[in-house]
Amino acid sequence: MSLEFLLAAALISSTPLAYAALGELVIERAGIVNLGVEGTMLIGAVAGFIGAQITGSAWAGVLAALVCGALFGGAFAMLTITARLDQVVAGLAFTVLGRGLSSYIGAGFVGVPPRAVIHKLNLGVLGHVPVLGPVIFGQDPLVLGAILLPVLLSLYLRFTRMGLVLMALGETPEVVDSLGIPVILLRYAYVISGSALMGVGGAYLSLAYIPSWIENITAGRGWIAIALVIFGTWRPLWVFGGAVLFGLVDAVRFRVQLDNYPVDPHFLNMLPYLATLLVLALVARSRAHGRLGGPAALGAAYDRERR
Amino acid sequence: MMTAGEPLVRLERLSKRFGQSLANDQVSISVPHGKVVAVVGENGAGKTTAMNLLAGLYMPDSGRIYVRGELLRPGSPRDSVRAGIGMVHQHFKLVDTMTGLDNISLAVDRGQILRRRRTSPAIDALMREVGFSFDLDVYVWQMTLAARQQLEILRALLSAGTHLLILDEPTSVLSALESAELFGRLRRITATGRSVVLISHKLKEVLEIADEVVVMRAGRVVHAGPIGSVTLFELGRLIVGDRLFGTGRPPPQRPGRPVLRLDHVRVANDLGLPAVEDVSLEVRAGELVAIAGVSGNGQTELMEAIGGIRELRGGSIAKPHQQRHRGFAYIPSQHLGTALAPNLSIAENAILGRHRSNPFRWWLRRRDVDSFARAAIERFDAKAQARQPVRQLSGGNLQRVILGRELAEDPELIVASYPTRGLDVASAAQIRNVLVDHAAAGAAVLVASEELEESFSIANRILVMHRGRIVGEYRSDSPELANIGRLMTTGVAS
Repeated sequence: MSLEFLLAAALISSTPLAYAALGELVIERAGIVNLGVEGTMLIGAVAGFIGAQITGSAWAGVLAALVCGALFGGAFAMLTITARLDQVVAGLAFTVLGRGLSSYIGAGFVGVPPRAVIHKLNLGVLGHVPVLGPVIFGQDPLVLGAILLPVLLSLYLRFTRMGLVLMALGETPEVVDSLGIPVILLRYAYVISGSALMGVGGAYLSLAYIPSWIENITAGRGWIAIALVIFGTWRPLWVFGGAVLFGLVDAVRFRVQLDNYPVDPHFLNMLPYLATLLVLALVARSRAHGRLGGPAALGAAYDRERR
Repeated sequence: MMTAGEPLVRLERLSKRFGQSLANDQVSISVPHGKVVAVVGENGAGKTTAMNLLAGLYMPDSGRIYVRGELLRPGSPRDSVRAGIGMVHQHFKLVDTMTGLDNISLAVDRGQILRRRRTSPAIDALMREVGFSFDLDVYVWQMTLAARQQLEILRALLSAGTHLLILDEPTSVLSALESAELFGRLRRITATGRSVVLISHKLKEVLEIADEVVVMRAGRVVHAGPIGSVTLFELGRLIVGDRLFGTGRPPPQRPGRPVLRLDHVRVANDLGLPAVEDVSLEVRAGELVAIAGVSGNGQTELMEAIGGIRELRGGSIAKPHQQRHRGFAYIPSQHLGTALAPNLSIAENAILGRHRSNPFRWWLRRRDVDSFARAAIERFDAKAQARQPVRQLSGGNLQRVILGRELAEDPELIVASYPTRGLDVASAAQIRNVLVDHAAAGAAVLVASEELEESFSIANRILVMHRGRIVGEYRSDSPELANIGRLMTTGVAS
């Protein structure tokens, strides 16, 4: 297996993670912690697959995943932002709910051959560029999107005023509110759009990576996505880097299993969580000095008149 | 529409209730163009609430707000900002992890797509005009408190067309020199035709800077008029009120041995600024001593230092101990959180701190816990069940539970920080009697109180605190009210 092939496989493995983790990043930057990533991805995966089965178009499936992820996120937003339920408890409930709901909806589609899948692009001459050709330009559009998204998000956070507002939302919502910027509305918007991204991440699994519908198709990727957000210290490019790193581990693991390599694949499975723990410890240490930690108001519902 | 003589802002009979307490009761305030209006009153008088209503942060229960004669939509920070109202809160509303420029960008660049990268000529001009000098590219958490305040004021002024600047206790974080600078800048701000509302309980500075004064007491406006119409002493009286000084009886004084002694104690507040400076005092057995003063002059910090939950910056405190444990009763001003764990039951709260003494030790038998709790509840007739979570209790019953626990072993020293704050009349009277009874029975009692009336009715001696120092001592049988009022507010007796 060539290096090019390994890198290409790593990017493919990292794509569902990247969408989900960047979705979670957006939500956490707005000050909400959504532990229901796994559930939201599953909803997206099943919606995407069924959408493609019904319409015969993989892209209609992606759209269905986007919309259903957004709806699922909207429900989460109502519970945590408006009703101010505990975000951790609600998130865990949404994980379980998403898993159950997706199994129920998708029961008739298990093992059904897909009518449509997402195809790799043919960019002609670009596909023949050494290394970049097969690794990047030969991929499907969702992989390219996953590469582009962190760049756009990073620019958004760094250079736009709305990005500044987003960061302030997670740090000190009361400041944002006192300036007359609508905290509740914006938090809804970010939870919904972040959840839509998670839905797309799920759809990538059922429409391109596997591609078919099986129960619990995400197999823990939602949790890894949450870990990646912390690993990347809430910065889009770092989070994407983490996703690629894990994609690489995934690709290597695959190879290891094929080659009867002397490293236990379970050990490799554990690595992302171990890395996250390490980063958490470092973040906790540097938090006192200011810059690396998560949003200060993360996990706290905003209630203007609380005193 | 704008009629002649219409003030810039007019609050009309605003009322706001928080749970049981009426924070604002039919409050009406007018702010004329180009003037500094001071809103003064004790803590909890409703000054900040009224201004938060104006800033749209709270929704009024009733009443109206007019800006330039036009009705303002209530409860909308956005509409208030648009109407030209900018507020600098006592706890700054800045994003600490961003630079000064970012904070300004958040407030002023509405509708811009890109984030601001450098200052504009308008910002530079305004900084020069008002006389600000601080670096906008520094992160807020690295700025001094004075710089943060300047940033807040700058931001409020930059928001499109701010015509009214509200400052909530602006000098509480400033040194005397910085305060003087601030007042100079406020003068420059009003010179541009803008108005300023200054919330304060430091009367001296109010007389210095304000054109008009509004006095609030217990949620109501009790006086409003030009600053020249009242003397400092009258202001003090208006703030404290014409309350009848009670007929309660202090304990008969048979001065015993000193139980609590403070020597040159210095304590810092949460911001690291000096709160208590060089306080020396003594409380003897059988004596009830009250510390009086306007809130925020270091009483809370002093009581916390005595209670052992705030570190000393200097000096020493001699108090009764029993093997590493607190050997006296401490009743903090914050019931839930400091004295009681809100989500635990009353029974569990009642044994906190006692859980290692007999009969508990290693094994908490339910029977023992319950009977101990019942005793603590019944000691002062708290209306509560032992298994009930503490957070469900009213203020009076919370205080009864705390007293029931703290006074269980007849301590020789009782330190109580604002023990009757927020309580109804009957509960407050009961708690005062309990304190007096214990003093009469030989305990040394030290109470911080914001009500002079209360201090006079129960204390043998009254110490007046101002700006972290004890500035006067009075025996309660010689009430020199005029002096105490002045001392509390200015720190200087006539």
